[in-house]
Amino acid sequence: MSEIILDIQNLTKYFDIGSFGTKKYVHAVEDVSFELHKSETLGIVGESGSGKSTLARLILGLIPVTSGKVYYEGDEITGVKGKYASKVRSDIQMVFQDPYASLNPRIKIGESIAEPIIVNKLIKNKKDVRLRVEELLNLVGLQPEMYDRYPHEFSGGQRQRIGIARALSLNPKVLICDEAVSALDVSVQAQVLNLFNRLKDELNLTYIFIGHDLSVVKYVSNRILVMYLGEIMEIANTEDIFINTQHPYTKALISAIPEVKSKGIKERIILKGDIPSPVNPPEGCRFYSRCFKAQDKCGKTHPELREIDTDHFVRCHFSEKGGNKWLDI
Amino acid sequence: MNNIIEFKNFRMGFKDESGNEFNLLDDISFEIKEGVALGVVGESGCGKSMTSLSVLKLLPSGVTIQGGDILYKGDSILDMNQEQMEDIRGKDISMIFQEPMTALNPVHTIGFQVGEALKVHFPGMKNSEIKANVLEQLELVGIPNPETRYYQYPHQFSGGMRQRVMIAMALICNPKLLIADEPTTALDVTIQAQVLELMKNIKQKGSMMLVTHNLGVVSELCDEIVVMYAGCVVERGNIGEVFENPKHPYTKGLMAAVPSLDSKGKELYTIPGIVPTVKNFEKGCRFSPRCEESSEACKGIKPELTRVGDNHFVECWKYNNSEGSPCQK
Repeated sequence: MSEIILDIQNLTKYFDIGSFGTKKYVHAVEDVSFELHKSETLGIVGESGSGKSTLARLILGLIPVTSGKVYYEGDEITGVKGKYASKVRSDIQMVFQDPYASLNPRIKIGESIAEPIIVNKLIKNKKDVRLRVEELLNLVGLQPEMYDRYPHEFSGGQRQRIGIARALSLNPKVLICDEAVSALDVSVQAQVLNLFNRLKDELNLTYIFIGHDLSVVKYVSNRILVMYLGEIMEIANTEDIFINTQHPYTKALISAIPEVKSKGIKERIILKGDIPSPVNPPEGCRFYSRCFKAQDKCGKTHPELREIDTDHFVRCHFSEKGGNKWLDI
Repeated sequence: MNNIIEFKNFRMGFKDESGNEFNLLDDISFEIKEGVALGVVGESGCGKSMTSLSVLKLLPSGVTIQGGDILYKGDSILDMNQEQMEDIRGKDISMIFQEPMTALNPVHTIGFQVGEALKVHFPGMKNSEIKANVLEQLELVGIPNPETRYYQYPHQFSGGMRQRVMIAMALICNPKLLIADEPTTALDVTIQAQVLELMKNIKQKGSMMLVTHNLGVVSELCDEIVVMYAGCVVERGNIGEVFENPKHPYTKGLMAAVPSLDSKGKELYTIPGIVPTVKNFEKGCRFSPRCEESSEACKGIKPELTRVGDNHFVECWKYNNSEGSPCQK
């Protein structure tokens, strides 16, 4: 595999919600480690509250970590300040979920895109900045004349393109897309997904693609990381995740996708209840309360993330190399 | 089979400040038969929600009916007065809204809100009877500990649970028709699977009209489908026939744009352009500006709904062989 661009080691984030002397923490992200290789797309899936977005924020350094380290191209970037921090931050950029909320309605979209270039003093000459923005607009499939328009004049899909142009303005190497297509209609979603794929080839980008729709994440990703209640449950190549599913949670997620089919409805695993509160995560396996294969052992001992096959890590007591027959219902 | 609701060439639109009249829904014709679940699909801005609101005559002010009729069990809804409509709403026809977070009143208990419809429609009912009914209904939609939950407020419920409360509220008077507007869009996949399972069980009790943009959800729940584009019904029919053999270029495009579990590596099909706004509707076929199979002639005259199968209709000149069809060559 190609060289490692981001190395995440034992990343943990607790949010303090205690008051008046009581100690209470939200265990948002717990002991997450993975490597991101150059020019791959890593998909991250999980339900709301599983810590996907917090993880993205930790990597970007937008919130301080509780413990753990992030290495970018071999250098530690957790808690860095000053000049190096701004270089790192321009190399790792983010595309946000809501294209309606992430653009300032009172600023022309061209100026929104130009802002990071000016702040980082990438280009000093005003005319050149405008040329660069027009080039970026072109790159994401918009017309350069749109520079002087305001966000309300654009549709959701176009706004998301503007968000992407802004993220690209600093020539990043890694792009973190946090639910970047979730708010879009299917036909527009397809346009933006194609754009992501085209940009990846043209600019040699590396993506972390966060989503809750497994079919979308599968479409763009080379590897998939499944999160539940702040922990990694399974991480493997996309094909392995789908063909050789090892974790019951992954299995349930896959079976929950409603598919367009003219005949026959597939057997579906319905998980009981909701995701538990991350304030007091269960002692044993975090998925214990909803798991359809849970045994006594799972409620008591916390499973470790094990490599059961090459590059296939699972956090479950029962998964083993080879078949996944034991997951059948 | 009797029709619960019948749309007969229904047309509606609105007037702008300067008095120009615009058409929104054009020539909508379809029926919802007793015991049938009908799915209405299309992108945002295609008039799906307007169609469902028309059934309950809950249209925003400023809207004008431009022709046609909507029949409820043979009686025209458009001719009914306020009092008659109130008698139907919530009792014979009820509705589930998209956002369970905002559709519930935060200052009333769940029990009160679910029982309210009974109070209104059956003034003679005793309080104890109402409570018993509500508890039974909460149990039915899968809310654990209904006795405790009865006295709780919406903020104490999770998203999935709130949607169950909404469903309980809609079902309390045993309606003949349940209209569900994007009932699972705001939910996580695993919770969506739970709610879909619940809806599958309740659909046996009466008719259902499901408004959604998710083709997978329609495929799981519905017997018949109506595909809408820019205020027109472009294709409708039996779900198997339409999904197996889609005729209209828009239906085909919608289906191809969804990344399925095996479309990896290929570029996704996209429908060029975006849904037009009301003021820019084409005079002829409204889809023609985005249609790859359209000819100059499609733009001039609006096609009529043509039968192409047992229970399968399409509004496209390609399948219309009558005289004057611009596709006659």
